[in-house]
Amino acid sequence: MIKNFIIKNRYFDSVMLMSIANNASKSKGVKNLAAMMATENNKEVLRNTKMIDKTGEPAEPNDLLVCIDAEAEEFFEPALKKFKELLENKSAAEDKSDKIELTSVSDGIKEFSDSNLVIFSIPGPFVKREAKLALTAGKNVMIFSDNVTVQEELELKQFAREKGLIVMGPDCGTAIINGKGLAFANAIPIGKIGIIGASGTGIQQVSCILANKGYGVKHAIGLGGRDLSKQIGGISMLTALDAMEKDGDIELVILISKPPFPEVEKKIFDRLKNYKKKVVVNFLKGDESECKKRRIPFAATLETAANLAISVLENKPFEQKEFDSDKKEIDKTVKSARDKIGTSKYVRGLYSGGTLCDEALFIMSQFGLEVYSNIPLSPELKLKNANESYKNSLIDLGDDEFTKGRPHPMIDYTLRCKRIVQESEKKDTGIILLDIVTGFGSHLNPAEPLEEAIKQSLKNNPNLVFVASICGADNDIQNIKEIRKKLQKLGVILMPTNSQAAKLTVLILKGKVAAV
Amino acid sequence: MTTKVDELLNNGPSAINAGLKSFYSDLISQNVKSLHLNWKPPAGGDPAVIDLLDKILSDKKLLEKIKKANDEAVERIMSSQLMLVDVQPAKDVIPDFKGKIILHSGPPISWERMCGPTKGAIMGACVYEGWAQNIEEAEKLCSGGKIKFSPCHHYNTVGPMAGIVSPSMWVWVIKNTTHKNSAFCTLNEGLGKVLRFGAYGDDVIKRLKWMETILAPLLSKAVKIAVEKSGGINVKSLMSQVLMMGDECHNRNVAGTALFIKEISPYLLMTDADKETIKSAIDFMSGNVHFFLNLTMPVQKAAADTIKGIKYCSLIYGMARNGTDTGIRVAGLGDDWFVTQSGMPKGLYFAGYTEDDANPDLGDSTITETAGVGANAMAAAPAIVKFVGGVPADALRATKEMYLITHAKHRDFQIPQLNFEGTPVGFDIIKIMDTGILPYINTGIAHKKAGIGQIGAGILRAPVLCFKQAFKKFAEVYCK
Repeated sequence: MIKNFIIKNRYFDSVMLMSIANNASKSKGVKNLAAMMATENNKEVLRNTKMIDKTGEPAEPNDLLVCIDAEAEEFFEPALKKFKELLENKSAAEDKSDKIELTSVSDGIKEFSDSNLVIFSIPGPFVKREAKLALTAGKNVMIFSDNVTVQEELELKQFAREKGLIVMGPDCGTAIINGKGLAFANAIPIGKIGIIGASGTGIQQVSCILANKGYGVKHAIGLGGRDLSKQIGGISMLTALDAMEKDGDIELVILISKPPFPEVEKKIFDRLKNYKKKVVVNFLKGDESECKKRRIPFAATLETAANLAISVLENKPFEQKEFDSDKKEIDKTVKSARDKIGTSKYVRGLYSGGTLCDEALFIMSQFGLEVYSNIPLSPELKLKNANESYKNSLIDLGDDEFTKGRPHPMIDYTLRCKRIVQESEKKDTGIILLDIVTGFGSHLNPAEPLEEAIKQSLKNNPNLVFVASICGADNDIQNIKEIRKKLQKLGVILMPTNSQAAKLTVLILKGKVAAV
Repeated sequence: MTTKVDELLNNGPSAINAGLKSFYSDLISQNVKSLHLNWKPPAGGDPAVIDLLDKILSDKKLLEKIKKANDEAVERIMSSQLMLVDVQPAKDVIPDFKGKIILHSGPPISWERMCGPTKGAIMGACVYEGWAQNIEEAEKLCSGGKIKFSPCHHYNTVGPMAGIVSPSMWVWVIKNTTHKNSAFCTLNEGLGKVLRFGAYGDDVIKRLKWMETILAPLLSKAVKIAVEKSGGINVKSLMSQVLMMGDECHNRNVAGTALFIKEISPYLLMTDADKETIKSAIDFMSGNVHFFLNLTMPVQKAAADTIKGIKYCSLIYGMARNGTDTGIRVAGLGDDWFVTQSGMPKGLYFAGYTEDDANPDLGDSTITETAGVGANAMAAAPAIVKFVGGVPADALRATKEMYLITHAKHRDFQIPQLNFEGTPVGFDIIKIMDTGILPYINTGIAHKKAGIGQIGAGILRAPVLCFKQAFKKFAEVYCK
């Protein structure tokens, strides 16, 4: 049974609410507990999950709406009480100094007039107004929020371009400016490389591979996933290219994006004529012909992009290498894994990074493996139900359908761990493939939830093989060495990159087929 | 040409972070100079109201007119000299206060919708006035439409909690000698089981009778002498002093009460009253740490009322609760009330009571905040935060936060803890919409049932809805 409670006129950010709701939902007799600011969007989410009732419907955008699904009447009060306690503790623990936090962008700009950037992670419908305020005041803008319309994005970017400013985003998860990481970025040393990317995890993966091979990144400018679309026309990409060109420390620029809309692509190639820096174009899953024509180094995957960039920077010929380790070692790993999983088994990939999931799908398809997904390479490979794996399946758990009203799987491993155990219970699961993204913003100790889930899964199925890669840099705030140690102890095969993890997976499965 | 983007890349980020605090913490850990905003949706998150807000904020001419009006308004408030000049029965001194009429706190409300404590206090007043023999009769009288009810605010009056004023009750008379208006408030009856918290037992009525026959006439004589000697008692200047002594003039009046007794005592001794009577009066005042509240309230009322009707003024001059609704009044919008459901205070309860027993927010005492003390001056009264289990830093933050939604700093009310900065004065509905920050209210807590009385004290925020309504109306009137 469901009951709603309204807490009037209290505003909390959604991430905090979700972590508290998650905690409070563990109260006795509670099946589910959702807590959201009662905006129309959020109410819609609650309607869809059938959590809202007549009491909750009249809640206003400024009210906090708590929806509880409990087994019986007597469980509601204790659950609500627990929720409120957690809420108050959290707010009380926030700050004990006498400094106040300003609330409005205009007050913030007045207070910190020397600032040169405003970062937004606020509900999408408010972004346009607030970002416009920042741009009007002459501040660059990074928009982490999603749910901003294309029209709004266009308006902001055009306005910014006129004023010599840049809008990174919306939906920009990662940026590095002068070596400082913004939002979901890794601890990358400063170097001669610049990255301009329409994908946050893409930037993370490329910058981490570079860092782990001893190369630094000075700037990584995020664009948001739609910048190179027909409607937006690559406005921020062009601004970023201009700025990178003027930076004397930068020798090479990597462009990361899905293949742009053709006219936009042309615009970018035109801009790259006589560009003063070396360039590597990394149009994910893209076609190299346009680049070949123009003699621009091209890579279709993140790992190739990073390696290609190193060769170009060093003026060395590029050699495509499948693995960092030598063949013998890989063969040994493949053989023992193959022996372990037995026959007619599938890979189940559970991803937190959408671009990493996409990269793995692409690599597997290049190796001739058919893989189903919620973000498939072609429509016929679309999973009917993203909650149910079918044959070889890679799931992007960071996709909208999983993140509505829930924290992103890079922050909160709950959903992914549940799913790992769920997959282990299926008889046809042979390999579970994972990405572990570290750095600022991500879970501080991902080994902890993963260890528990992997142990449980191996109990369910001792022959299960785990293949994983860490998208992280050695100096990240998480202790990467420790994470590696813990996972290897559980028998997880840790590959240096996502693409190598995907390739190894294919070898294990294909080898299996060959043996039959 | 160097653009702002080039500057960003050359100098590295100096960032303002609106939203997830972890992004800010990560910036700080990388030694990036940053400022975190506790961002809140503007205008209560209502898109239509945000549009109005942007319309006003982008109209430079209008903003100039509003600023001018608001400057004038706070100048009127601050320039007010406020003297205690008399103590008289309500029926003799409050203009138009005639017949079977009872004043209550907050915005207008019908008998049916009144909360328990207000009904209790009104019934008690009927018995006190002799209009009813007992509570049952009083109830019949009230529900039968035989009594006229009106907000105190409509009679230049303010009343704490239920705020009940009936004709025989004596009131303080505060004169605004600068702007020539007056304000009235009853004498504070004490703590616990008292009429203003909805109690109406025999002891309550007996105390009111003693106040009517002994205390008030004596104070009246003393104040008359004070007027002769020095034009009255300058309560505003007492308030300036008590802010230096740990009071905020709303929920903490320990120093104010002591100072007032010190001030009035010589005059009491100059009356023809016998020692016993004077002693009983001093004992009564000493036994009630909130005695001074009923002086700070009419002082603030007489100051705030001076801004009513200033065109283009977006400051509020009235904020009051009747235990069912909370209402505000805006200077530029004349007599209109903008009303919404009252909130529940968060606070400390007397033994045996909990939040479940509490009545929603009640009383005119928010007039103290309206004209720049009370919760606005919380930094001066760190002891207050004990009501909500806080620490003194919370009190400093509360005051600092109120600067963000007020128009000025009060030059006569200063806070030693903030380097003698003036208190935040003049709540601006535009700023409230823009920042999403709501006024703090310090308050007593009444039992929701009639006849029980005070059960605690605490803090809450004024409800956003009334500000939203007022703001909409303001935009409608002034935004062409």
